[in-house]
Amino acid sequence: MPTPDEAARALRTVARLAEEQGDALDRAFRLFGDGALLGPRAARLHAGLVDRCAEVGQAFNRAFRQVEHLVTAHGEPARVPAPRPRRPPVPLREPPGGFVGGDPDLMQVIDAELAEVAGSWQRAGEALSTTLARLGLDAAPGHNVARAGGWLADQRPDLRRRRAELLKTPPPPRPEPPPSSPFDTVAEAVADAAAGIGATWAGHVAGVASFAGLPAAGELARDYAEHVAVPLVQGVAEAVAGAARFGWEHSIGGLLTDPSGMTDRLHGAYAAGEFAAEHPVEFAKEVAGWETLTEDPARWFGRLLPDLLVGGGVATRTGRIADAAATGPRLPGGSPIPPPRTAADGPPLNTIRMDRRFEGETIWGVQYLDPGSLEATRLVVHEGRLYDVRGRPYSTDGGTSHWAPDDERAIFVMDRYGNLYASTHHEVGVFHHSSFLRGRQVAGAGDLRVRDGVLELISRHSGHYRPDAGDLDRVIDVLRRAGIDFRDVRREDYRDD
Amino acid sequence: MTSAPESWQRVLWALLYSVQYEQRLTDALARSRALALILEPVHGFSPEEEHAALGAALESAAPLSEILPPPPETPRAEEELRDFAERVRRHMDELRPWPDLPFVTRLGPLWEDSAVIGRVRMGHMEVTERIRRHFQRPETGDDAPARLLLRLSSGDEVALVERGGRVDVLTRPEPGRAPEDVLAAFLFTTGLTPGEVQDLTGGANPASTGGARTGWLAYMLRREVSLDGPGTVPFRVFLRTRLYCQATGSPGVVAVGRLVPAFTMPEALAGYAAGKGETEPPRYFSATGRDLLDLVPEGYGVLVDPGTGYATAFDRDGPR
Repeated sequence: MPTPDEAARALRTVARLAEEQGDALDRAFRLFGDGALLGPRAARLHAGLVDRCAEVGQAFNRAFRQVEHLVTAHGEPARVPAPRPRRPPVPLREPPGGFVGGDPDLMQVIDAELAEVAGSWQRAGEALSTTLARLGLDAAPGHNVARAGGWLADQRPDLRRRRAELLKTPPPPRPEPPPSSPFDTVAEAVADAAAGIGATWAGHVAGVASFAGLPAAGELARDYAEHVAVPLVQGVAEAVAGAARFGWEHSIGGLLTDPSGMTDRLHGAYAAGEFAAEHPVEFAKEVAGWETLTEDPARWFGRLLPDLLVGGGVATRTGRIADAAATGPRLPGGSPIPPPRTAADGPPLNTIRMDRRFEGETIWGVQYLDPGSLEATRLVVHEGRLYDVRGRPYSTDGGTSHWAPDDERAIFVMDRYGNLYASTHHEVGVFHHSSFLRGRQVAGAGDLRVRDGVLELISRHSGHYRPDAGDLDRVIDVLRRAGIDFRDVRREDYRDD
Repeated sequence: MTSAPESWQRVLWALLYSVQYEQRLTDALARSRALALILEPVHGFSPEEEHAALGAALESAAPLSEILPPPPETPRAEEELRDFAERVRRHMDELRPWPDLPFVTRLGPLWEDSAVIGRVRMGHMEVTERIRRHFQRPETGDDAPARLLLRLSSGDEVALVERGGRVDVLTRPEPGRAPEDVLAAFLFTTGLTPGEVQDLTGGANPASTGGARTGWLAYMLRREVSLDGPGTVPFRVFLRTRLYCQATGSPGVVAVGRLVPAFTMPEALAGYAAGKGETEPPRYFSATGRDLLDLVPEGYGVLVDPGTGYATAFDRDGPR
């Protein structure tokens, strides 16, 4: 039978242990509120944490009441206030699209907080068990607290694995900035010039080194130019252009010349939030320029330099966030429409020229698409099917005409990067294969017949480009690699072939 | 050619383009192209203007082969091209009277005194897919908004102008012509629905044809029937198009056999009733094709514009 002093000391111990178990837990809940974790699995973890939190609270209360009863049984007042009820946990933030994921940095913090809570509960549980057992009381509350700590510790490997997955996922192609932007045109020109100058310089050094009997020095110079100097200059040029574009768009001049632009960008920023919540991996990597960092570190560092020197990091970062979110519609399954492929996505395809008879055809009324209209005609391959850029399965219903009375088809071209553009309305004298890419070279051209996203027929009928069989092979190869199964797709060459 | 082509040359360019790789310029091909010129006119021309353009080409001393030089694999003599143009023109004459089109596209500048009467809630490329006409950009460059000028079968001139991802519907105010009626005619002739076009006139009547002589559904049916028969597109147009049916004294619709006659224009319904010997103007109600199919009993269908060459029956699964 414990003495009254032992009972009173035990009561203070239980109260202290209960009080100590709050701060780390509150911090962990706040991280949930900040969006460290989102989605169904996050909800399960959060719900489990809420349950464990309640169990721990009940365990301490039960332990306190047991000891308090012992104290008052000796005719002494308790003199120790009961553990305060804990603040209700911060609720989990509702993800906008049921996405599973989170913020890698916050996940790291939440992992640390959970580790602290787990350790603390396990230690407190053991201490509580010991205290209760010493008093001859039921030690179950202590076991419950320790078990809750063990449950928390068990969640951490999964949390760390998910964070690692998040950082490993390959990034989507970066959305291409509007090609008409003068800032980007300048950046491209500088990048091209840098590449030319670098190659020339390296060639000169190699020549001199060879003359001096030091061929290794020439190789070093080439390596330096190719892997360090030129990418660095290109990166700086891209970053300066990005910052300049941001500055212009957000200046009075930008507002005057593009009054809707600010609204669009604000919408883009809002969309960025949604995008980040639903696709944190892609979002995080867009912000970090992950692809460039892993593939071309010198170029990435070059982009970073102006950020560091003039504090433009927010500008270029914000631009990338907005770009990443400007994907709008989603494909089945929730993934965003991938942006057009660019030179950064791999070596360009071989191309063919438009028949010279059509040069200057706009004089007859043939229309050439601007970049925005072109984008509206782009098709993407998703899980073996073709979708338009609004995320709808593509169909060539209605693609018939007395001018070209074949079955329902769309005309298409593929550009040098493998982007596919199609329209079901081939309007003679107005809209032809040349309309998509303004008469420029294409990797392939012809007709498509598509039903509910399923490609049924592909041809190389194009009066403007007259593709040969190899050109059609090229298109088919790109589409096959993108996931289209060609076993049931009819291939149509020229009727007289 | 560096100078602006004469208008007849634009028609010839389109015609020659469409047959450039054909091995032989047969009479069937000439008839097919005549039908194309009548039902799907070259941008900026009415069928009558195309017919005149062919006449101007035949009267011109300018070589047709220079308008669009034939590709090496199908060389053409000048006489062959002229003979083909002549046959196309003759076939156009044989196909008279030409059907009314819901609208024709026009060339020219945008009017300065235009008023916005509606706003289409879709981008211009989507509008193109719906009304099967591409927008144009004036030669001032890509910064100029894409636009499409139409002359509706009501006689109204309407401009569609891309603005901020949407398309504004403009018209030139005409004395005695209410903007509400112009918008009603626009909806009727393009097949766009009141839900897709924001009404900025203060209240166009969705059941009105706005004085237009023919609408989008009738055009699509006529066109598709002249090709291979109606496919999925006319069915979709049918579902969203308002049709006129004869009302009865009691609840229900008038059926002939297992088909409910429905008309794209109330005037056509009146003509149908008169043809049956009815002396009183028929009472009618209007509903979209989708609602009509919901109204009629299982096993019944809707026959659109009975008595015309393009009359087509639809049931819940599509064209019969």
